[in-house]
Amino acid sequence: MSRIPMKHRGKRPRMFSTNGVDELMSMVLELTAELWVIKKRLYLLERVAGQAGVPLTPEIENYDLSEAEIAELDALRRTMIATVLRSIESDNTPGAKVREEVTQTGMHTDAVAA
Amino acid sequence: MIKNLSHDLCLPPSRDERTRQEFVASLRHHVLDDMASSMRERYEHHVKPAFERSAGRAPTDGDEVHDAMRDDPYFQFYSSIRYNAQEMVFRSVIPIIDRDLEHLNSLAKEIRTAPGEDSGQLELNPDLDIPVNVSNIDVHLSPGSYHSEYQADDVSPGAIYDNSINVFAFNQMGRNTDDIGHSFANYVKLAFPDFKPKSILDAGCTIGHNTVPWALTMPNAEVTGIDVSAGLLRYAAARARSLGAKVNFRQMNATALDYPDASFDVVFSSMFLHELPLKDIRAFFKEAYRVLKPGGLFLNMELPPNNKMEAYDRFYLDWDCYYNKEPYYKPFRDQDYVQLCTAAGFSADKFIETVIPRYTYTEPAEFAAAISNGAVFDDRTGRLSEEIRWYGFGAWK
Repeated sequence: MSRIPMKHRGKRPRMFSTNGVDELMSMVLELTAELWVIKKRLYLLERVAGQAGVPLTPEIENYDLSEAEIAELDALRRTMIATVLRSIESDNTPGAKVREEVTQTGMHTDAVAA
Repeated sequence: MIKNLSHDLCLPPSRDERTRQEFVASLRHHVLDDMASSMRERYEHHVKPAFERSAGRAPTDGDEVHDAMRDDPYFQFYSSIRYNAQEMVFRSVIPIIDRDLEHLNSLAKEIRTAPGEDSGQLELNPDLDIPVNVSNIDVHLSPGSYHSEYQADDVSPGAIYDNSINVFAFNQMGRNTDDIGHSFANYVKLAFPDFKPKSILDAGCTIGHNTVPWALTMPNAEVTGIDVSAGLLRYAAARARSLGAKVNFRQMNATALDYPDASFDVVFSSMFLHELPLKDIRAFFKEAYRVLKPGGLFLNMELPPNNKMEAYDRFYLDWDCYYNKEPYYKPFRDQDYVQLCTAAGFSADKFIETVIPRYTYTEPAEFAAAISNGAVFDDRTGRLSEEIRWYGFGAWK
């Protein structure tokens, strides 16, 4: 739980007359930010691996995820979704609640990537 | 690319965090340069002609332009993206600071209190009331505004401010977002070569990013920055020392300066007045007049006044007031800046104003030539972009 709030006080202005469009814009922009972060990461990954003589692409295609890795990805994916949808949630810290739930219910032991 | 801040309080983000910051900076660049140009075109070719057909004249002020633009889908997307980008600026820096807060606070204290002759004084006043224009709203959507603290000796307000403007500025405000300070210190030095200030006050200095350049440009002057926020000033003191600048910082409200009459050769402020209610601007101007020595200079870097701008540019710059939690922005810009000075005691014939290019982005000869041009207003004046020109005004006492 972050000590410094992530959300400013006060109402967000409505730019669009149709309900939901303002929130959708936030979702689209957060999603694009997340997508860019991943895209750059992959770009770097391919180059670093290539320089190290590791043929990454076929290795990725054939990789078997462990249960723990599946759980970790599950939590990361849910955090990402909470961030993308933050404009319709009151929670200050996207993902914090989701992460807690995952830990408490032990979903990581039986979760299978949807 | 966003560069790490070049001082010891820099908190390096992870690769993904930096990538996210770069995305937000690029998004701001896109909306403030590319979309801003397209929006202007839409206004000229669609919105303005429609207004003229129905009203029989062109819009005369920013409010009329705003009303005419409200239903335009492009303006709605522009505003939505700009607003979200502003939120995302803070969201891209706060987790990094939050994670390292203990370390940051002890590091800042260590830098502030290390022995040596090169350090200015930090003087805090725990009894000072935080004014409501700071405490009651999260100014420009910054969570916690300028003053909220979460630990003892907290510098998080300073860290949030420093790191967020580094993203916010998309590389257009100087290496350490300090171009305004460099530009105006050098403007004074070049425009008034016989004026040799020995004491300089920077009011509402926040993290001293625009205070430090005065100390570096005029090493013989004693430079002091004041602000109401202790969390900003603790950070400012450590930041200045880390950059090798001797600057004093005192927690004080600019509307009630704890200095005797005739204490300073220069009273400066930057991006400060538009955060103040009008009554506080008037009180600060009176205080500035009082603490200036005869022959001293009052100089404020600010957004240009609406009465010098065309209707569309008024509307464009006042976007922050409508949507960015800057309620005092337009009321300030609607003032006659000459009148603000004369009401505080300055003579109208001692009023000065200038529009200058960015010092750290401009060849010295070009900068020197530009400052002799006087104040030429156009759509670059005060509009954050690759072509921005800073505006400043004030008066000699």
